[in-house]
Amino acid sequence: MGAKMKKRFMTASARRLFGGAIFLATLSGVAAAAEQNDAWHPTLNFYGVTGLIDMPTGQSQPDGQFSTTISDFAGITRATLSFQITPRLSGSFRFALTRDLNYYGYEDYSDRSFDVQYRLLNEGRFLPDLVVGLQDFAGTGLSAAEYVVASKHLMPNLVLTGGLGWGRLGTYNPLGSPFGDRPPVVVGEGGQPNAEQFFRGPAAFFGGVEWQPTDRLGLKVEYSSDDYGFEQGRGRIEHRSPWNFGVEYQARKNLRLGAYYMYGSELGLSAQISLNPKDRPGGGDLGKATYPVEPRPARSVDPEAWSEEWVEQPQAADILRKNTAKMLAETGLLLEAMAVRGDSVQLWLRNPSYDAEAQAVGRAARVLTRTMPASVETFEIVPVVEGMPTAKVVLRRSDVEALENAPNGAARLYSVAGIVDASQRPENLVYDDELYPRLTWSLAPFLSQELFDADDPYRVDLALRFATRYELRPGLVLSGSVTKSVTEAFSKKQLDPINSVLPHVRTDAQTYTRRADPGIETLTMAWYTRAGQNLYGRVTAGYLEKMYGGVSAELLWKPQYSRLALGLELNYARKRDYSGGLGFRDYDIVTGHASAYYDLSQGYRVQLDAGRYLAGDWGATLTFDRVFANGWQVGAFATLTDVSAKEFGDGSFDKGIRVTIPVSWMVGNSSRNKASTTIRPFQRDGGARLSVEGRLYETIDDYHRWGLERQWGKVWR
Amino acid sequence: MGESVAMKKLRAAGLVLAALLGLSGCGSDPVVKDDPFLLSLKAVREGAQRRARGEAAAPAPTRAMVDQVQVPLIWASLESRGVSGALVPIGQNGADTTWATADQIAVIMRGGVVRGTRGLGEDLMSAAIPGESLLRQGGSVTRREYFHLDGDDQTVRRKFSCEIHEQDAASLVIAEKRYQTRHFEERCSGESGEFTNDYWFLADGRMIQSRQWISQSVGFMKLQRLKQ
Repeated sequence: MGAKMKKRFMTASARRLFGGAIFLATLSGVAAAAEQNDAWHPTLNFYGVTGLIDMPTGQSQPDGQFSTTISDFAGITRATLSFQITPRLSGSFRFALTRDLNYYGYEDYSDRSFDVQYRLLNEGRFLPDLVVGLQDFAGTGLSAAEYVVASKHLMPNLVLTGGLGWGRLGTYNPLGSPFGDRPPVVVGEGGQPNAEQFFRGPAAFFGGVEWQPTDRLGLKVEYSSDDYGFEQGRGRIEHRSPWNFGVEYQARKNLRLGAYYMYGSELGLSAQISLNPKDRPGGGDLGKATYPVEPRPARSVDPEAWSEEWVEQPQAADILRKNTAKMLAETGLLLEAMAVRGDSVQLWLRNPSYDAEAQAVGRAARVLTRTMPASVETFEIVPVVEGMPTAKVVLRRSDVEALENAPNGAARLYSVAGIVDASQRPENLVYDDELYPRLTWSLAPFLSQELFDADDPYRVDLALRFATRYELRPGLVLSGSVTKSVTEAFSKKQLDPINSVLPHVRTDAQTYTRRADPGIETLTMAWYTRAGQNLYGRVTAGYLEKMYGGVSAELLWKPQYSRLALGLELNYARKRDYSGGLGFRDYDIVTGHASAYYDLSQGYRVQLDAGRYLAGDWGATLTFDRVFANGWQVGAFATLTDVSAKEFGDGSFDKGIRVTIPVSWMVGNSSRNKASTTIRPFQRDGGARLSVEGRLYETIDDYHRWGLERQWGKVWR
Repeated sequence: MGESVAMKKLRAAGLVLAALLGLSGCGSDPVVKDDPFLLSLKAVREGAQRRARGEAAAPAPTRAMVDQVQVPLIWASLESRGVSGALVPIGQNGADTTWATADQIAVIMRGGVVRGTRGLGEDLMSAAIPGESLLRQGGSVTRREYFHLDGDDQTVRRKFSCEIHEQDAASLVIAEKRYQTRHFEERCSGESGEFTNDYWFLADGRMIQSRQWISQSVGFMKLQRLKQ
């Protein structure tokens, strides 16, 4: 699984999530420190979607809610990741394991499935909440179901639910087939929508009641329309009754535990771990305050101080730059370069510390009020990343002085700030002479994971990474990393033979994990440059990732005031030795993509990449992301190439979900680090892309106008 | 001198253990300490330790300590967290003074009225506030606007209208010194809820103590003027 940490400076990485109940449980531990009485929101069912016990309800989670549910009964374990994508739309990804099912040649049968739900109606005085949902809509059909379900509050803490289910949810006591027969599912390799089945075949009624007598305690009763006939036929469960009963307990703000008596014969357990990106565990940013603004003396009081004569002094620019660099360093920022004139200053600013770029800009502006002579009225602050100047934020010093403590000062400062492209370099720009060359290194533990193995669906390994980074001059970086497993959790597992008919470009990833230990993970030389107005360029050469070495070149067009950005990437990649050394295998390929990124505003972003993939297949990837201002990202992607479903194998085509959680959100302190993970139901060889550090869009997006704007509220933080 | 293999293994294990128990990656860069894995473990551990020993409040300042200090001084306490500390002025912009603790938590005030905080979590980012003199006139009406950041870093505006009510005169002891004060309540309500601020004024009109609302999760801050 490509779980990877975004490297900002040179950071250690963390690989986890999902079965990463561990991870979420840790988070809920953190959150417990700041426990509050939050308004109660709808609970989850055994499928990890908003619901009763085994049945869904007509309700939805709060917008953005991100939850993991683990449930178990009758030897059926389900682990589900759910996300409320918009206030009305939600999606889930599930791994289910049925022990001793003896199905499809497997003793223990594992299944991966996706659900979507859409809320058609919002509860009103008379109207109920109404949801239409597709369960396992693109799988092998074992848990496929469709439903329409309504819920209504009878009292603030009592909700009545009734619905109609098809497929799996239409098997107990069906009322008939209102929309005709259900055609048999063509399983194939799975993973493709079974649209012709939707809402076909027998439909059955389900329903139930949820009562919350106290803030922490919940009681559930439901009438299930699932007869578990398939599992009963294989001796897995004895279905004696459609009635299920449950007790749930809110143990922590983010953790809900439940115990159930199901189908008249089985005991069940569940754990719901739920959090919301818009709800910080620590309540907010606990980082330290910075220097306040130092206003200039009034010109009438001290006209001398306002003179521009200092410009004539030969050392003036050097002294100002050094003073500013020193003060910036105290607040966690780096002065990359500076150009001063009698009435203005341009500061090239590097931000290794703050997740909100606006916060770095605001802190730099406050430092400038303390270091610049009174005659300097215009502050031009240019965030620099990988040596590239990005946006230019133009502030009037008088505004900075007047709005520091003004009501709604952040929004008022934004309305008088200018943000433009910064590709033009001032003539008298002088770099900080102590910044380059710059050597940094780190040694830190990290976790990596292997998911969905039938015997051991969540394997996690603890390893150490030594990483180093040497910046020779602005934009030119030599970097490398070496990893070594500590627990060697993966080496114990015998690898299954690879059945892929395509070149094994990703299916042998686990061989690298086992044999490249210790191994050189990356060793690259990268060059970043502003190729012109609104243009950014990158060339990276060397050992690009654990599996490939080669050369990667990229060009990105991204204007400050456009929601659209366009990119081109061309790579020559050669497969590396399994040993993690410097050698290569004899597979090489030229791959590349043309990319379009569109910021839909309101926190939604789409990306389309079209081109040639690692196995030589041609096609396109569509990615949809929900981007929160605080740095959380939750997205899904799918790739279709000219590889057929049969050639691709399990899953039919490449798809998955990705989640990024900012460290600052978790711990409440300033940090640019993020923990990211990508989860694919199946990792195959079709639609696979090269993994290169420092792709341009993600590198510069935070520093651009939209990135500055979405966190501008922190400019005075 | 040759080291035995066993010794080497032991040492390697020790290093790994140190890395895990110390829970600190190391590096030339402070950023490395931000590893989410380490930090989440650390937060859990610290939370457990805090719970185990019970939150200890800083000792109240004595008169002898106050007398030694040569700068204006305010003693600030957060009820919700049971923490307190000394504030000294670090900046002046017009009528607004920025006060800060030694560990760089800042409180911005106009006179004795809080209009901002930095470093408390859900900070008061800015506020439209009434003048101090209005707060010691029973029956007067004030308007307040607070600006906070929500969990997604977006500014939230909260409006309140308030009334001043004079309470019974009170005798206060602050750092071993007794003060006779007039006590006023500012009862505020708005769409997002209600709260009551308290102010204690000396006969000459100086505010000696107050208890002011900051935000929902931070709650109230108590401020005691130790030195003018």
